[in-house]
Amino acid sequence: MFWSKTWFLLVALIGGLAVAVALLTARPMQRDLEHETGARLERAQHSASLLLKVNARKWIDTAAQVGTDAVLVEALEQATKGPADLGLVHKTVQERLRYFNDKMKVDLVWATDARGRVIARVGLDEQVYKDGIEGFPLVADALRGYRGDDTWSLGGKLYRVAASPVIARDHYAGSLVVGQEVAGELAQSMKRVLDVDVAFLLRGRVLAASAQLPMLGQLPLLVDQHFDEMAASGRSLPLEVDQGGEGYLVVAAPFAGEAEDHKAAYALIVPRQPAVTFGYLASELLSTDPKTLPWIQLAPIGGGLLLALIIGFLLMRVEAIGPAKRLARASQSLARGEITRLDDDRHPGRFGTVARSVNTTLDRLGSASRMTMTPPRGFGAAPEPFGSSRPEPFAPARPESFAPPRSESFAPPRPESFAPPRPESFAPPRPELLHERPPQPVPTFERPQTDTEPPSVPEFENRATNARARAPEPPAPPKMPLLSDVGAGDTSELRQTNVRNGPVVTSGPAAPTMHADAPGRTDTEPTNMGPDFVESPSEVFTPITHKIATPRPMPAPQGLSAAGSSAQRDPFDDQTAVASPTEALLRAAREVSQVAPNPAEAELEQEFRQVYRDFIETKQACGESTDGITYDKFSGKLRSNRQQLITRYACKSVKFQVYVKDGKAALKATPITS
Amino acid sequence: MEAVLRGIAIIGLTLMAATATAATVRGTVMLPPEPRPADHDAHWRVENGVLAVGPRVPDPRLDVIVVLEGAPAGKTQLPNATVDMHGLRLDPRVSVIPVGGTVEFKNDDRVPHTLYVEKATTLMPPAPTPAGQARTQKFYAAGEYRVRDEEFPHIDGTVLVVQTPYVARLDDKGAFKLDVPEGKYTLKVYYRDRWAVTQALEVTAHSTEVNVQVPAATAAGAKP
Repeated sequence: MFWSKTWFLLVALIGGLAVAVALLTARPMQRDLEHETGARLERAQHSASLLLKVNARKWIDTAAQVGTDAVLVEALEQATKGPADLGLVHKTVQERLRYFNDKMKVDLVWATDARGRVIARVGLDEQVYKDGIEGFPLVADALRGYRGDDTWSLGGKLYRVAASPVIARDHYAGSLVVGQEVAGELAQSMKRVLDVDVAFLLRGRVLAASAQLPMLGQLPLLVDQHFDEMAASGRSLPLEVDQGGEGYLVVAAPFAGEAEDHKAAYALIVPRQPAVTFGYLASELLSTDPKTLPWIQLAPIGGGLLLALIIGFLLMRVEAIGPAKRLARASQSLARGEITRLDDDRHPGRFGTVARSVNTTLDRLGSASRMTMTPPRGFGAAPEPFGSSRPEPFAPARPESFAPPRSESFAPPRPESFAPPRPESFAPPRPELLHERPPQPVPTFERPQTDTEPPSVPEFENRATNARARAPEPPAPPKMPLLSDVGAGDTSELRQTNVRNGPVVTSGPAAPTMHADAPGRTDTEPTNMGPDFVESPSEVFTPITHKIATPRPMPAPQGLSAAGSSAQRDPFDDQTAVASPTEALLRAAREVSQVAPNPAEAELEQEFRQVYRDFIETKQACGESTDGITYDKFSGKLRSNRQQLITRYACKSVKFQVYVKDGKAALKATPITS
Repeated sequence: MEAVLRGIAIIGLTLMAATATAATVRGTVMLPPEPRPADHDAHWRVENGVLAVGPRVPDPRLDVIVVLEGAPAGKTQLPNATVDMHGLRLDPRVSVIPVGGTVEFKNDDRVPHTLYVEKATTLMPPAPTPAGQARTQKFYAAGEYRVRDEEFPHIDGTVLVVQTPYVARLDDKGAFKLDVPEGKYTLKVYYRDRWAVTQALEVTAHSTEVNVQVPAATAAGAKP
């Protein structure tokens, strides 16, 4: 794990460094983008200047071409000489200008004589003529032979004009001026070419723009503030304008010509570069044509990332995934009994720690099992110690079956649960208890359930099951009926109690054995095991406590540990432990029951009488009282227990034995399957 | 005898005074080659390729003013000036008036003109002069006053307010003539919105000849 951890830490550091660099480079990138936007505007302005210049040249050529018209030349020459009828000349020239303007579609066409006097106008002030315009430098230059262009500010409008001399053989007969108003049409045309918004300004106001931008109101002041800079260098630096929450970059340049004195200018506008964020970068990346991406530069980065992932995966496989799989396979083999221990040398690092911990647990539980296992009784060989490699019916299949023993738990067999019944527990009951016990109520136990009527069998089972499901602790083993209840004169309750508690299954292959421990034993019983019947003079029988533990949980119960809940725990839980029989045992029992019919009732009655006699004798031998103990009650209890055990374990019969435990008589029930 | 001597002295002084008044200054001013106009320079200004480019109209020599400063006081004063506005220009472009003199601006154009004195706050503020009307402006201090038109940026003229009565314009050959008393003067030539030449001149009896070469305008100078 060391190298994989180190590797991923290194990769994480590199990734963090990359993110940090990306964050830190956002601002330089922002500046670069803004600079690029400004440079784009400056390039656009340069293009606009060239565009206007080329366009002006076209107007000059147009004016020159019109100025060669013979009618115009003749008329202007006559006008210059003076004697001619100026009105007639005016009409002639004007008609000729209209003819040409139908083709040129310009806003003004003026023709002057050689002295700069207007002979005719078309487009603007058509009715006016005979006024002099030689004061315009453009016209003055045209009258002496120059062709040129200019910008005029006339009546609050801006015109781009061009002029050419009208040449009559060897002298200049006049000049021709054509012009076009600077308006929205030109702005749209420039926008299509330059891909930026364009606005025209004259004398502190916006004449026209390609788009109605909210920042147009700030343009006149902006241009006025930077006009000297514009006049000196030809254009302004990129200017930032914020209006309405939107930012723009503006580059303004003056119109070349006379109108420059009226602060005629055009402004190129683009939105400011948005803030560089990851979202912006992502959107830019997604909107970029993949063919234009620098794959050559990106290839090492992608390759390095892929290599880092591969190396990390290999390291994980070598240091984590592989050992985990090996440990899982070994654990499965251990569960199947193919091995008895985990080879912790084969598992590196913490997996070896897990294997060693499992082995340690196996060793401890195995030792405990060998110490507490009872020898087989009629059900085959003794069980293997815990941790044995040979799978036994009662061998724990899962490590959790080896939970520490608890008095109310099924899973861990308590040492005494596997011990054979001690002979001294078969002490005979005292005669006075057998014969003189008056009917008394059943001793009151601290049952969690306060129902006056004892619950039915399903209710008890359900309650126990529910209790197990609620608590995480192993379930308390079902209790065998208390024979003392027989003496209490309430056989129905006794039977119901027996049914509720159920039989106890011994651990290992041995047949489930029912113990009837004498009351008052003090070996391992906790305080909640129930009342001490020996000490109580009202008790006739000592309770039959089934202490058969099991190393394997019940087949079906869920939440076995629920019985450990103090709120739901039965006071008899500590006195009886029943283990589930193995499937092989149940199968064998079923086979026996099918081929061998139950013994005859007479034999059963005889057996019960013999057990009764043995019990009475044993109690008497132990000095116990036998008052109140009658055969009918005794045999009824035996029948009830027998039938319950047969039903639960599908056994053929049940053998009852009397023995002495702790100086008192006790009964042990053993299911007989064969 | 005493009376005879007194008469001779008076005659002599009178003759001496008559000799000083009769001094004449003659000269020529040679202008530099015509520079390319910088004002209102647009994209293109090309020759037509058919005919040679003609002279500038009006002749730039008409805008040259020659003055002699340093004359004794008491001499006759310059008259007031009149400037016509026609053809969207001022004619003459440069006017000379004495200190305290007036200039009348007559609008002979068909459009109104809004003249004003450049870089002045109270002197001749912008005011429209309708077509056919005139505007008179008095100048109280010596100096050069550039007059502009708000509506037509190309219209500009200069009003020179001088303290000397000896002022001359060039003829079509660039010559000028001044009748001044003998004495020491300062000859100044105003050309293209600047005093292009300033030199000392000692006027002696009879006639004084002077030839002035106007240097080309430098980048730091006034507009050419």
